[in-house]
Amino acid sequence: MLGATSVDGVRIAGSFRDPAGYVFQRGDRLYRAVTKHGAADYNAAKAAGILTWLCDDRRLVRILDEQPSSDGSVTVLEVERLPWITHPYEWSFQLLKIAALFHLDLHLDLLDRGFTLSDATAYNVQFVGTNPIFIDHLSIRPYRAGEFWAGHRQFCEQFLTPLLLRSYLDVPHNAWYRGSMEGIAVSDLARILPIHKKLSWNVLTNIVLQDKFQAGTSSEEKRFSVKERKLPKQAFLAMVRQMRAWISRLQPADRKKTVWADYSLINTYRDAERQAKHSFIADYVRAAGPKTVIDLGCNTGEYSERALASGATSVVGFDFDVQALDRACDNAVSRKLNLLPLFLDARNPSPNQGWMGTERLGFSERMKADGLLALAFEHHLAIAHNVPLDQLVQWFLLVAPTGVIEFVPKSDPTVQRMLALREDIFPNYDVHEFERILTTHAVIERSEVVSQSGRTLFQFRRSS
Amino acid sequence: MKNKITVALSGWLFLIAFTNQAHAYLDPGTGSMILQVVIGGIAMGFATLSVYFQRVKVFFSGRGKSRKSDADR
Repeated sequence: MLGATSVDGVRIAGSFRDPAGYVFQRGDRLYRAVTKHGAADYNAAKAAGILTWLCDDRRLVRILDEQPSSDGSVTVLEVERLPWITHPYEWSFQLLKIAALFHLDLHLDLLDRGFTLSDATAYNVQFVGTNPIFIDHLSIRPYRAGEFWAGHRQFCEQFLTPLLLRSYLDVPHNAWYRGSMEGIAVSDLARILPIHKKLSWNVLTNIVLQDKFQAGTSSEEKRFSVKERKLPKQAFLAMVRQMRAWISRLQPADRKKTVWADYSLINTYRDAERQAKHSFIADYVRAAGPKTVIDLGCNTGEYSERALASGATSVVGFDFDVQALDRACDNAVSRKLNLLPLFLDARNPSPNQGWMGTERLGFSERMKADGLLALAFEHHLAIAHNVPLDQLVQWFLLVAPTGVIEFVPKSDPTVQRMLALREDIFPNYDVHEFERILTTHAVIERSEVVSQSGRTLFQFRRSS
Repeated sequence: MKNKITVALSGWLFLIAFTNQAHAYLDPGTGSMILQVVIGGIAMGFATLSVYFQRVKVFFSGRGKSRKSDADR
């Protein structure tokens, strides 16, 4: 129940585009205000049972309560808060594809019932594990006979072109998408696609022709008048279905294996060492009882799965190897794990960005958990990226109050490879120094050497 | 001459593009609107053809099966 039916609260910075409403929070609770502009469409969707149907189907976040505001200016919906909000530039190819197909299926089902979507922003799709869920109730509105697919261009730029970038050019979408924030412009992709790709019907129409038509009409706007013209519903449906069929066939090009793609199969661990690591993590999760866990350097999600099997309810994994992430995603889907594997270059995590610098929040604002796994991860920052150990430890401790960190010493073959061609500028880099720094900020609950090379796991609890 | 054709063509295209309000708070983009007018009908045609193609496939695969079951008897 709403404590008060006013709209007092903190408005979510990214919620300003659609005049139909906006999202705000009060404490831990999340609310959506429906304005007079959006009331008719919202009421129509509600009366037709569309919102209940989608919520029951777990395709739309639940509405927990509905009240008019005290001044009557808006209707206030209390809505379900999801454990994690993620951005499309943090999704792997497979996650983006899942989101794209989900969006198109949702749209087709809505059209079937006389409704449509007013936009096609990828930010309206979120994930619970790898299951997509739609978060914007006000994007759903009645279909008006003869109308166009209003979100077609947005869909192309926020879903289609990023997928084509990896599928046709073997370039991951993440860095580009993060830079532009609104996806990859059709005109940009049209410039870089090879000519033979442009000959297919789907590319020719959705990319090449769309770009040409856009460019051909950008000036001279005032010369032309308006005349009635409609898009038949069958044509609308056919376009959405064609887009769906095309996207369902797209796969990453993956012309070469990335460095960490096969790590889980060919890493430097022996079976017994691996087993020791599994046991340590299982014991940590059982003892400290974290419900949500962030797994930094998750690779294919092997230890995320161990955390889930030991009592964690939700894990978000991070890695910068896109092929490993796609495998983690496939594993999570096929084994029905509540694991969400996301892209992260820890040297440069997602920042706060967009309008006023706060529209899309960054990694450190959004990604907090009860527990942390940072296994075979620390040396990639401390050695390969020269991050001072004390800064690194403090960064880890911002993510979660408890967790497990693996320290990889110089005697380990991986670190030796990292230092093979460069000067060793890390005279203090050893397990004692790491332990000393960790102890200044946290309590070390236990530690265990898990490999012959001296890799050591530390279970910590942040000092309050 | 070429210029005139370009202007005429873009004029025609624009006429189509701004024929109907998109009922949307976001700008759907003129390129997308024109595209939908141009290919909407074609997409519909493809969809219809695909239905007939499926029927033909079912017809032949159905015949194949019935032949096989005949042989099994």
